[in-house]
Formats: sequence, C-alpha cells, structure tokens
Amino acid sequence: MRGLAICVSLALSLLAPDAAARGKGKKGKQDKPKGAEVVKEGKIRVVRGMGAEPQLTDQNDKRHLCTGPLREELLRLHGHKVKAWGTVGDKKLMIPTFRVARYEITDSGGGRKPMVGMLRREGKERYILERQKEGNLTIKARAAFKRRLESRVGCKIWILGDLEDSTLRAYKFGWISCKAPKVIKPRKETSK
Amino acid sequence: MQRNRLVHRVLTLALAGLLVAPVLSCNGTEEGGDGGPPKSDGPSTTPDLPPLPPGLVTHKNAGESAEADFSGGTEEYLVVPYSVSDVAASAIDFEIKIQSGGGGADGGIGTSYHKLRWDTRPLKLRNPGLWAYWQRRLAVERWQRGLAERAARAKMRAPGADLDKTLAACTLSSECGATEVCHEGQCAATVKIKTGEFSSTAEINAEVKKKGTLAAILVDSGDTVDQANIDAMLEKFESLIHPCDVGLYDDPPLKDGEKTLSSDRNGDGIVWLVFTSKVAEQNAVGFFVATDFDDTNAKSNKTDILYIDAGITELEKAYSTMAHEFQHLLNFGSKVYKPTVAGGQGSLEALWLDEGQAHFAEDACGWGGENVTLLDQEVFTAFSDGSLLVLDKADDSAAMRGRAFTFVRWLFEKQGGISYESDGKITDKGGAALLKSFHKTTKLGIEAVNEAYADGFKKAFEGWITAVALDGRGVQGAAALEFADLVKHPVTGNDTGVVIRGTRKDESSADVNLQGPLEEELSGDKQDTIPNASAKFFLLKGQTGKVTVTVTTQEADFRFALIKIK
Repeated sequence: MRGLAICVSLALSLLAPDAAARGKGKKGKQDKPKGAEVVKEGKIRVVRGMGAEPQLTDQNDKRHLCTGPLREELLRLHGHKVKAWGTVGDKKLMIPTFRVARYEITDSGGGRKPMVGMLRREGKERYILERQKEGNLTIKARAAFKRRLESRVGCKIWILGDLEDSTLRAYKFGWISCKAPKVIKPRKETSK
Repeated sequence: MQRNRLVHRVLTLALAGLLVAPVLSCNGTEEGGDGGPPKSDGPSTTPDLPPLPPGLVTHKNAGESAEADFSGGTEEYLVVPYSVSDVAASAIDFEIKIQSGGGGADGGIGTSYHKLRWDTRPLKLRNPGLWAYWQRRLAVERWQRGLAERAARAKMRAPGADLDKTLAACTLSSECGATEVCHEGQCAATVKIKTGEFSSTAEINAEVKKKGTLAAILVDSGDTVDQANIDAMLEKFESLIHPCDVGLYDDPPLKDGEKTLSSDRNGDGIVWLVFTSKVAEQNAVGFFVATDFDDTNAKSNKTDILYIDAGITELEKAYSTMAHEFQHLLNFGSKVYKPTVAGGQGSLEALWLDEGQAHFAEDACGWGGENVTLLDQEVFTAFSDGSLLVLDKADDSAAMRGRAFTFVRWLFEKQGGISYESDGKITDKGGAALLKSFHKTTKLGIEAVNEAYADGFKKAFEGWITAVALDGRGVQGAAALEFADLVKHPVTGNDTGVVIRGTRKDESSADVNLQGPLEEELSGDKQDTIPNASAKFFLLKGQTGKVTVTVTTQEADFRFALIKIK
C-alpha cells in the first residue's frame, strides 16, 4: 500500500503545476484576472492552427496566445526566447491570451541576447543600429552579411554579435518589422 | 508476499501511468491542440542503406575540419555549409577556410570566386513573364492561406448540425437524381453558392451538370462550360485525382466509427467541383476556400468545394491545380475540421510543409511539369537565399515551395515511396504512410517530421541536402543518397519524381536541362551568409594532395558537409 500512496503522491505532485495554473492550486498561484498586468518569459512558436498567433510557452510550460499590436513582430520571432510585459486577456480557442505591451528578446540561439533597433545606412557602406535609449551602434560585418543587411535598411531588426564600445561585430540577424512592406498586386491574368 | 509486492508495483506503475499520461500528453501537443486526432503509431523506421564509399560524404559541426583528398589530381568536392536551426534568422555569417597540406597556395585570405553556369540575375529580369505569373500565383496563395488561418480559429460543427433531420429528404447526394446533389437535406438540381469570399458577387446559382460517386460538377448558371470539359474533369477527378490524393494523404472518418469523412463538410458523400467565372476575379485557375468550413461566417457554404475557373481552356493545368488544392482540402479536413468537431483545437499545417505536400501531390498524381519549371527557374538560382521553414504567408515564395517539394519527396522516397497500378491507383510502399502521418498528427512542421521520421528533422535535412548535392552527377556508389529514378505515371504518361541534374519535361512537354543549385567555385577562403534552415553549395577543385576544409561561425547550431562529386 505504501507504494501505491507514493505513486499517488508523485502523480499528484506532477499534476500540481497544471492545477495551479488553472487556479486550483495554492493561494497566490491562481490565474490573474483579465486586464491584470503580467510578465511572461519563454519561447515563441508560431502556431498557425491557433489562429496565426504567435504563442509563448512560459516557464511553467503554459501556452499563451500573444495578441495586440506587437503580434506581427512576434510572428517573425519563431524559435526565439522572449520576456514580455502585458495584460491578461480572454481565453481564445481554449488558450489564455496575453496582450503584449512590450517585449525583449532574451535568446536568439546559443543563449545569446541580441541587440534590437532600426537599421539605417549612412553613406554607402556604414550601417547603424538606431536605438532610442541605449545609443546607436555601428555594425561591422563582412561583405556578404552587409549585402543581406542592405535589403532590410529601414526595418526593425534584431542582431547578434560582439560588442566593442559602440561597434557591433555582427554574425547573425533577422528582421522584425518594416514600415512599408512591399505589396505586389496581382495582374488580371490567370494563374493558380 | 513476493507476489503481493509484485502486484503492488504493477498497480503502482499503472496508476502512475494513468495519472501522468494526461500531463505528458498536454505538454506534448505544444504545436497542436487538445482533443485532436489520435497520434500516429510512432516514427516509421528508415530502411538500411548500403555502405557508402569511404570519403564520399562527411558531415561536421562548424569549427571542426574535414579532409579532402586530391591525390588523383582530378577530384572535385562540394563544401556545403548548412543551418538546421528553426530559430528564424535572415542571415548567419560563416567562413570557409581551405588549407592545403603544404601550407597552401590556396590557403590565402582572398575571397575571389566566380559563379558557375547560367544567368544569375533575378527571375524578374531573366524572365519577366514567368516572374509575373508567379507573383500572381503567390498573391492567390497568400489570400487562400489567410482564409485558412481565419477558418482555423472559427467555430465548426459536424455536417447537418443545424438541420432538422425529421424534415430532411436526403443525407447523401447519392440518394438524389443523376443531376442533383443533397443540399441542406433536400435534393436539388440548382443550388445557391456563396462567392463573397472571392468575388464582388455575393452569390451565384450553380446547376448540377454531372455527378459521379466521388464528386459532382456544378456550373455557374451565368457561365457556359463545354460538356466535354465537364466530362473530362469529373472523369479525371474520380479516376485519378481523388484516389491519388486520398491514397497519399488519407481522408479519415470525421468521428470514429462513422462513415462521414473529415473532408466532407456537408456530409453529402461527395466533393463539389464548382465551375464559375468568378474565380477569375482572383486571377486563378482554381482554389479551395477554407472558410467554406466555417460555421459562423455568413459567406461560408458549409460545404467542401473546389472552385475552378469556368473559362479554363488548359485542362491539364486544371487537373494539376485540383491535385494541389485537394491536398489543401484534405489537410484542412484532417488537421483542423476533424479535431474541431471533436471539441478540440485544430492545427493548420506549417506553411512550408502544407505547400510542400501540395506541390508533391501535383507531381505524384501525374501533373508535375510545373514543378520542373519551378526548380529550374526559381529554386536552383536561389536555393540558399531563403529558409526551408517558412511559416509566414508574407514570406511565401516560389523558391520555398520548390525546396519544400523536394524535401517532402526525399522523405517520401526514404520511407519507401509508392508504386502505381496500371489505372493510376497507388500502392503504398511506406511513402504514403509518412504523408498520412503528417495529416493525422496534431504536430506541425518540424515537430510532425520528428514524429513521423525516426531519424528526426535534422538528419532528414542533412540527407536532403546531400541528395540535392549528389543527384544526377553519376558519382559511383552514391545512388542510395540521390533521389530515386523518375517513374512514369501510367495514365498521364508524365514523369513523377525529382531530378536535380538531368533532363525532364516541363508543363508544356518541353525538355528542361536541370543543372542543380547554383555553385560557387572556391579559389581561397570564403565568407558568406545563409538564413536558418538553409544551405549553400561551393565547389572545390584544382587542388593537390590533402586539403583541410574548416567552416567557422559564431552560430551554435551550424554544420557543413564535404561531398566528393568527382
């Protein structure tokens, strides 16, 4: 019987985090009410079945559909880890929603935190990461990397590299949003 | 006593299993949903391959070195840096270092190289007509994808849920006359079809022109379609397209033990093929409108419909389109509609895998000519420009579709493929089981591949890149690593399969000389970039003795292959 008791205890303890997340656990662990301010940290996955929403799986393995004006940006961050501040929303498709007011990327692969800002070009080959509070960074990169950067000038990007004073020696980047994305209108001819 | 202890242990483990299982299964549906279709029976195994000649293919982590042997004086190698990471990135920087045994005439810092072969200008400049065609097609596909995303979060109910069954004269269209379908419980020769999702006209009247056992042809009463075209479309759909797509991807019962299938939104037992000129308003040959599955959308027909342009003159193009679009319908039915009706959450397939399977369906059902053009004109000149793992419809591209098609084909072949009967029906040799598992699982994209393919996505990616590098070069002992030989479709007479290097006919039956992805010849060290889940091909030749190849990057999840091609 002792074995059985241990087993039940073990299984219940495994279930406990889930129960707590549903508001049935210890005091203070209940779900926050709608509109409550919360901070979530976890990995972004873009799950189309959930209504084309980016989904954040938090520290407790609980999933949240990210909504709000930053949703489009989060869609570009599949696989990245982020810390996000926002408010609790209604459940959508049985999953809690999280209206993201701001976020920061904490890991863009290899445990490294990227710099985020607007990509500008000065002159022919000088690329600047424009940041509001932390100050601008000059991006140093090899020619092939700069060619890729060129296609995203004017966009909000994340970028990884080694920081030396105000110079970032970059090796990896991705775009988050562009103010005027190119829209190609179809012509009046047939295609599939 | 001993026995009692044993019984206790067994009971203990069983109870623990019962209690823990729901927790684990909840966590396991990260990309899927609750209450979805049952999981597949586990990964299928990869067939054992014959041993390869030593030194043919070497895969290494970035930072490690591989040795190329140029002792014979005529050897050639491909150096293929690749990223298998799913962390979205536009560019990952890397460097290839070449060091010859003697200290290296070729080991300099220079980055000079020359592009091999053809015109490498963008398609827009090389072939403006084809470029414009693809832009139009992609615009249609993006619009369709948007509808599918909208429909995936909509409420959907089982067929006839809002019907008073005591007043219904029919359930199945087979219960009605030869030119009637069962619509909202009544047999009807003319039905109203809502077209507001894709046309400025909200509704059309469509007449049932012909009905078979799997489909019915309905034609917009404002349009005229030749009877010969109606006959041909129904015949091809029922004899080839439907059996082929269902044979590859399955169409499981909507509810276990019931006859209604997951694709059968109105439960009438057939698919409606609706010819209307309103399709041309979207500049398309035909499409599937996923919001037709939606219960709450006023523009929804709550019916499984494939729309075809009534003005279509090239029937072959319509057949290829129907094979493509029917995959989307089956995929939506299995992965979204079925679990939603069961009270769970549907999971719309990742864009790259959904489109890869749709283009695969065109080919496997015998109308893959357009994929040949796709590979030749779009994929091979831009193979390394984009990621395989595209999720966002805004990033949809012809090149991504071609990459995904060849990736799906590679997986399909590794699992055993299919064989064709003389009438075009397929017999599964393991390939269809893999595709069916993609449709069955609640997992999406990479996770679906990991679940279905025993070696996992990363190994599949490596194998696919190796096949792309080696296919059609005639390298001795490499056949097992290449794509399988083309198979002629017994009914259409068109080839099926993938050719990376060699000749294959396109959609106009013209021979296309496929040359594989663009290669750049290394003449020294090389610095470059690729996006995540991508690869680039560099040719190394004209060296002497032993040469050490190293690829370096700061990226954690990065590898390279050294492949002897001559």
